[in-house]
Amino acid sequence: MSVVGFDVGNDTLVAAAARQRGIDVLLNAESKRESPAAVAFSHNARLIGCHAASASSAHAPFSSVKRLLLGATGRNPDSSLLRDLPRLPFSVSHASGGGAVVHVDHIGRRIALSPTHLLSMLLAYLKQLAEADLGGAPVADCVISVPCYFTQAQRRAYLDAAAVAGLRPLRLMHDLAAAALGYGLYRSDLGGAGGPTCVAFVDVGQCDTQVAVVSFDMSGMKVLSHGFDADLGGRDFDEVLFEHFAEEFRDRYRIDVVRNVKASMRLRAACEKAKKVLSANAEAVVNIECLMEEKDVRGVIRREDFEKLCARLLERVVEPCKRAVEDSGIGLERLHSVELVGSGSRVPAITKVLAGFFRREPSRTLNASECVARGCALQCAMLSPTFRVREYEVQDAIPASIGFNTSDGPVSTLSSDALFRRGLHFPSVKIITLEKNDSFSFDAYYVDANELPPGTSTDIGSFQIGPFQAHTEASKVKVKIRLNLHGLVSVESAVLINDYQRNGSSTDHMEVDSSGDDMQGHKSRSERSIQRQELPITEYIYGAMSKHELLEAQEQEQQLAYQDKLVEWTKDRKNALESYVYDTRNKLSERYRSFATDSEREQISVNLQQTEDWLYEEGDDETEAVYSSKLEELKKLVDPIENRCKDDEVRAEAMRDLLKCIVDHRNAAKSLSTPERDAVDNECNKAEQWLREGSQLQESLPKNVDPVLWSCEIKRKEEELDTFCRNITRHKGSPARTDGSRGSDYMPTPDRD
Amino acid sequence: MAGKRRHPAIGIDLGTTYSCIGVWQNDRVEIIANDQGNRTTPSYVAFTGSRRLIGDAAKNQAEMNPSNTIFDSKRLIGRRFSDASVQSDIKHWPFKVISGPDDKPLIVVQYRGVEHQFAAEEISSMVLVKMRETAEAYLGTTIRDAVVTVPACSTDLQRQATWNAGVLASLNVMRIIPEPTAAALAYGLDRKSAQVQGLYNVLVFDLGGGTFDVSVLDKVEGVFEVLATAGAAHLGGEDFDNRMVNHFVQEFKRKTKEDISGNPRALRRLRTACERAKRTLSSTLEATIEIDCLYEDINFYSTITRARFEELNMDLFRKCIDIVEDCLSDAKMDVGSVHDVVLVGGSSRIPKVQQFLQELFNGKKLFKSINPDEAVAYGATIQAAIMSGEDEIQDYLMNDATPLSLGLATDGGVMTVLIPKNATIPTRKEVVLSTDSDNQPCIRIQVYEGEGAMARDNNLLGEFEFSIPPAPKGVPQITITFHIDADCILDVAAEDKTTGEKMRKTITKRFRLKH
Repeated sequence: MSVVGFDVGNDTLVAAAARQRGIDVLLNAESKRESPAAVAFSHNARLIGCHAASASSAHAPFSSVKRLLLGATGRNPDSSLLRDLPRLPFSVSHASGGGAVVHVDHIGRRIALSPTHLLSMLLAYLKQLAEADLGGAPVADCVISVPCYFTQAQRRAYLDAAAVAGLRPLRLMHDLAAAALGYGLYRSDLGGAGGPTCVAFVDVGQCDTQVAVVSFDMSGMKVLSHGFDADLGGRDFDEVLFEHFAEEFRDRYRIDVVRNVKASMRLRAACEKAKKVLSANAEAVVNIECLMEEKDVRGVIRREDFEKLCARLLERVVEPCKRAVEDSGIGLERLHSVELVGSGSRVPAITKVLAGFFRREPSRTLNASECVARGCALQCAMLSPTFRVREYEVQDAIPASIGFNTSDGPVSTLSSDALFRRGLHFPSVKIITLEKNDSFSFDAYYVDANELPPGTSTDIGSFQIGPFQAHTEASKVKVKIRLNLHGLVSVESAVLINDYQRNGSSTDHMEVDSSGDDMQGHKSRSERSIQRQELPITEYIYGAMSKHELLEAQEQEQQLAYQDKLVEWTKDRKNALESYVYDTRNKLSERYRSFATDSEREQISVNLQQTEDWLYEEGDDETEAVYSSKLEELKKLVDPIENRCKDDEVRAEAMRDLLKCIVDHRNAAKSLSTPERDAVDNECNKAEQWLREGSQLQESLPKNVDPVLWSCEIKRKEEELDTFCRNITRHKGSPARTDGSRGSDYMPTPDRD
Repeated sequence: MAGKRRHPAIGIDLGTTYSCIGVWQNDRVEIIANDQGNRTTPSYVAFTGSRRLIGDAAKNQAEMNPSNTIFDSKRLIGRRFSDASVQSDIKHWPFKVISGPDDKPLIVVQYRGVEHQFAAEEISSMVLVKMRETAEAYLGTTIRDAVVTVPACSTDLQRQATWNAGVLASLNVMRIIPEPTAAALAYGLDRKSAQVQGLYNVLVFDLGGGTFDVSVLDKVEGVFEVLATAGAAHLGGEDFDNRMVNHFVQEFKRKTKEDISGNPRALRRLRTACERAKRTLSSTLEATIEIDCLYEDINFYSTITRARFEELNMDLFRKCIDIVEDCLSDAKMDVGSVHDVVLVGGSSRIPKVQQFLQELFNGKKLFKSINPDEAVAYGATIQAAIMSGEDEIQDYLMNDATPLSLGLATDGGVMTVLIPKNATIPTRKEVVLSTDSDNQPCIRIQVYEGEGAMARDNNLLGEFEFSIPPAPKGVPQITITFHIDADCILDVAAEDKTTGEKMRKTITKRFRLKH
């Protein structure tokens, strides 16, 4: 099985694989470890990852897939997505069933794509990348990272996307739990007599900020708390620069960049680059030639001015840190270190503000861009039977409380309405007992909207229990609810318990039992009769794909993948044709020169030039069959010359072989009686004369005509001679002769690849 | 797994344009990203009115501060100002280089309003400081021990200067190894379990952005030796970019009748686009070029196919293969004797280059799994781990070749070679000298490095005088011994065997700089 970890960021993709010597981050086709998280469509091809980045700007790649998921899977799609829309270079609309979709024109028709399907394309790209790097072995098992604030709907979307991509995730792992695993597993100095070592991890990503406080000891790690700001990341700092320069350029150059999609893309890219320069330098220059209306623009910004523009954003960086530290129950003084990761974390002012809050300088002992993927690969290795990893327990905490409702109100524990309380370690199982006489609905929801990104729906889904018929008034339903390794909640089972002993009490009350022991209960009496019955459960999960939708998406993906392969093959044939033109032209003036007549060379040259011109005019975009047939036409002209050239090389060897055969048989014949020896000598003489006459005739001919003495004929003559002489030898019972090695056999054929 | 070492050793690839650093951590090589998140750091140092910048920060502002931004210091290190290659390079550099004492090139910059002059090894030491600080930030501890790489064709002076740069950077340079040896070592561990019995030959093909180097190594009983090197100082990815630029200049002229070959701004934008397209063509068959307002108000949109790119550069690719064949010839080897081929350098990713190499070596699998920009640092890190006593890989040792011949000036100034080019290190050689005049009071021992027949055409490494008692000419028998140890330190000793008198003096190549 494969042991890989995937980190799908809003901006970049990273894949890591576990190997015998540790975890490697995999290289893409451009030998880079990070690939753009983008999908682009030209009129006939789909480009994903590093290929999307180089697509023509006429086909802006779809990116920010994770942000689209936020809008797509919520009950209120406008809330968070609305703010993003102006920044995206493509348009987003609403699907009939709710959620966001994008449209592309592909192979002559308009296709609607959901964010889940776009995500599946990115995952398929990572799968392909991993398979290429791991020697072609199939990749299915994996661990995929998700932000801690992802809701049930978004996690299910990830699993659906993985299914469409042909992946089987063993776990969806929180980004910072993965980073912490990569941090803790290799450090043998954590924890000790003074108790566990506590570390705060801060991840400033491209579009979000996450914080986790984790305690480590020798036996494992425990996430104590999560904090996040789902709308604060590196791109927000880019946006500050974008707005600054858009305004400056409007004032100075009288251009309105915001209204021009292409200009906005270019300015955003330049601002991102400028932000990176400001991480290293005190000043950055934005220089864009021909931004709009044929105007070159130039702007300069100093780091201190940039930091002033970002003051509000910098204040917000601290908020999730405060929350995580408070929830962890650990004072700042107990933190051993603060580890800073994420692609957006390199702005020096962020480091300063974090140093101020945590009262120490953040460390950078993890690779900021790769640590999440590495941690996922480590977790995959731990979950995999293939690798033996040191005993190390990974306990993660849920970031938002989950509760359940029935028609009688919340299912509550003594302390709160949450069945799975924020900070609870998972996976986890709860068993509750309800007094129900008939079918009922069991609704899951998030207890506190403040624990979710703003505007996120608190609804999770509904579990219909039943139908069933109670036979006694004292019937109870015992429901087992699991929060699994992916952070997904589901009703695992529901059992009707019919108690035929009548109870005096008829009040409706609920009993919550946290233990995993189903059999715990009252002592049974001989006079009681208890009957257990498994009840049917029907799930209605918001945002999840139905089976039908999943099949539909898989079919669509197969069609798109088929089209991708077709385009790839067509381009390969086109490239082969063009290479053949150049290669043949070179050979005609070098290796093939003496084997072609002037008229042949002229004719071929004309055809090569025509083909080249055609390739760069009407032949630019043709079908594979057209390119293949063009190649065949050229080969018909060139093959005779190629045959002459190759035969010329092989013929000398064939002649040597025949002469050697003649000499060998003459020597062998010396031990024969006169009649047999004479027969052999005659045959050898004939062959020798045939060869001499043929070679003389061949040598008298110019090289640019077909040979009269083909190497295959020489080979055939050698075989005839050998057969004849062996027959004589065998007939007389003479000692066997050793065979000389035969040279290569060249046979000209009309068609050749 | 083993815990982190308290003071881990590191491997540094000090490159001409980029440098790279690795550390042995958790029983494996980790290539470290710098504070900008990049695994390679520009080998740039810049001086401004208020501060000194190194690495990404220096490169970022190079366009705005060209005369005070230094790069390519590796092309100056250990060389003389009057060297032909230095004079040629000076013409292309925006910063000023002058001749200092003993013909040493010095780089002139304005720093905090005052003119400063720096030796090349001082610039390189600043890059090494940046690399050391990068490693220290990642590891959270102090770094001292390092293995640093140099090109295979480095002279002893160049190695000495590189070592000096390490000392200036507060590093204990445990060893200086040639880049191809490091690259072979990077892949050697992967083949550890399949180690070949007896002779094992590796060809290292290093095609970077600006230089091309080929080396043939052999490994006998676990010891790598450099048998031969060849290359071209100015052949690489930039040349391929130039061919594409020329192609599009012609296309633009055909389409618009405008000639942009004399327009620096248009050429710069075109070159940037071509560089990106070239990279794309390594993994796809077509790339697009889109430049708005390339010339006046004319937009330029075009595509280039891999086939066309290959055709534009076919002669350069073939030249690379010719150099490979020359190197094999120098090593007295045919292609069948080479067990493995290792690819290094970004331009080795070009599919046609790989195809030609595979054809030359009869379809042999090429080693290219490690990122080609990192393979050298990867191998240097393995060497550092070996020297730090990491048990896992203790069985690997390396020796490297002397790339230039070493000898003495003898009668009439003739160069007498004691240690020939590409001899195996460590090595020891002796020669017996005598006097050429009666009652000569001493013999002058002058040690030279180079291939010229006359000593004056070569590099003088050092000299000393050995006193002898008076005797008729030709009678004294003075034995001169050259010994080069594993760290490329040359000891020269003299002994008078006629009288039995032993007067020993050693020239050590590791003399410290005075600062």
